[in-house]
Amino acid sequence: MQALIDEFSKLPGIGPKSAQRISFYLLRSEQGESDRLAKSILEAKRTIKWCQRCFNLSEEDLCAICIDPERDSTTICVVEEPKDLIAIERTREFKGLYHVLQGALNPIEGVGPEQLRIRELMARLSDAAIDEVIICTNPNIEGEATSMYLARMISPTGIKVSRIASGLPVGGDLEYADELTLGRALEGRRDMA
Amino acid sequence: MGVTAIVGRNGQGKSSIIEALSYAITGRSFRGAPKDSMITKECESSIVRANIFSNQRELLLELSLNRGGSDRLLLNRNVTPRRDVVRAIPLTVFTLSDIEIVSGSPAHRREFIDDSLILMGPRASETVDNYERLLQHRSHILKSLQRGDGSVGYDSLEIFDESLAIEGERLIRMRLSLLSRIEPILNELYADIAGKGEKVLTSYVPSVRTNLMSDLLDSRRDDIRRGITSVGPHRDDIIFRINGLNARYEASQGEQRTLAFSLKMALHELLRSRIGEDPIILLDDVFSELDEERIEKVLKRTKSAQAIVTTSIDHQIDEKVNQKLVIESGSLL
Ligand SMILES: [Zn+2]
Repeated sequence: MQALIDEFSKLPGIGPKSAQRISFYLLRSEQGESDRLAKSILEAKRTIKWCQRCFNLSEEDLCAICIDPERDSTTICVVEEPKDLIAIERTREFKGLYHVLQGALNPIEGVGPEQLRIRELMARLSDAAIDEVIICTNPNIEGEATSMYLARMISPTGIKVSRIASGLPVGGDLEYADELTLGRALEGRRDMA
Repeated sequence: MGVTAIVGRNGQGKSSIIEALSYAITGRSFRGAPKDSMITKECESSIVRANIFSNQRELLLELSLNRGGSDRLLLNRNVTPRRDVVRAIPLTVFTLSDIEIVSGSPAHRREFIDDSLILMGPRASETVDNYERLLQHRSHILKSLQRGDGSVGYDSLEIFDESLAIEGERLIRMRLSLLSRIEPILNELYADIAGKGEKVLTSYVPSVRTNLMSDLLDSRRDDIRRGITSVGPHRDDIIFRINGLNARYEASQGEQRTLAFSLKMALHELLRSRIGEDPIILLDDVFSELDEERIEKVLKRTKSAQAIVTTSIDHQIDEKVNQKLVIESGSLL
């Protein structure tokens, strides 16, 4: 029992009390329910991996967006997490490709440029014919710092860099921005380099 | 509207009532007491539930404090960020320790000005929080460079120093702007309470020499060695002068107390003109240090507001308050 509680406590956003509550809930629930949960976790871990090009979640080596011939392969939108990509896809405003950094610069948590998929982004920019990079990191301290860092790395390549315009809720996360605001922000992006 | 007095001998629990209310709104104790002391021994949590009439609205504020866990703050039954609650229910708290704004270390004055900025609007509040967080980021980078290990190095320092300089200078501009708006009100209030002809001047003492970015660059090597950021608004001070004399060192205790009260009251009046209504006023036991004439002037100033006053001095206030509650052994009689 304690082992189960310990495992749940390691999950993001779950404290010891919630971990205890979830564990007791699962013990009381029907056998089928915990079987399904355990199976979904194993199945997801087995089948879902990172897209080798953009580091979005994918079941194949390349994700559905990267292999879609309809997408504009000259524009890359850089986001922090797959959930941000989903939020932008929902606006239907963006037709290009993505690059998922898998985080943002965060010295407090020991995250520097090396821990993000920045080297992979730079490799993509030097290989393929990319005209524009739109930086859609979150409008908070860490997202802004990441955006500044990227702009500095990309400018020498001569590729156009823009930052998603604000108009997003101040200090909020992209995933909470309503779809209309996010769409408008994409249209009104400003140049950084 | 009007003044409610909670009267009781020391140790009967009169301060606990307004401390609970103030804690629910601001998220901290005005005595500087730690969170665990807000929870009864051997209990896991404590709950504050308050019906508040503020800004012509009725609000239900609920806070549950959990020992060793995260707390829950609900405004009208919705989970609400602390900063939003602080601005939705403006509060002016007077306590005996306010004198430290004048007599204490620079940290007290910075805390006063930044707490005031938080009430001035979301942008100002965000600037205070951003600067604080950027300082923490920088201190992690400095320590990582000091150890010479780790993932965050000079390229992170470059980026975060730039953000720190931008937010830091914005914070300084906001503090200056707030001080210049407080000063005339402060003068009027101080003259009213202390007597005509008293002139109060405020001056901001920055730690920045040229501009924050170049100062951060200059001090970088030392900062890495010491693991701290040696320049910026978190090292600044404010000097209050009464008739030319530095109030921190050269004013009497009575003058310091009056000045601190006037400062808080000036902020109160500034907020009133911003939101169109008086913030709620809490006065914790401040009358024990004031003479009768000053108590009268203080109460006159708080008349238009909704004020709750705790005091152990019963006889002096009877005819000056609208409602009197007597407390004994933790219960209202
Ligand atoms: Zn992909």
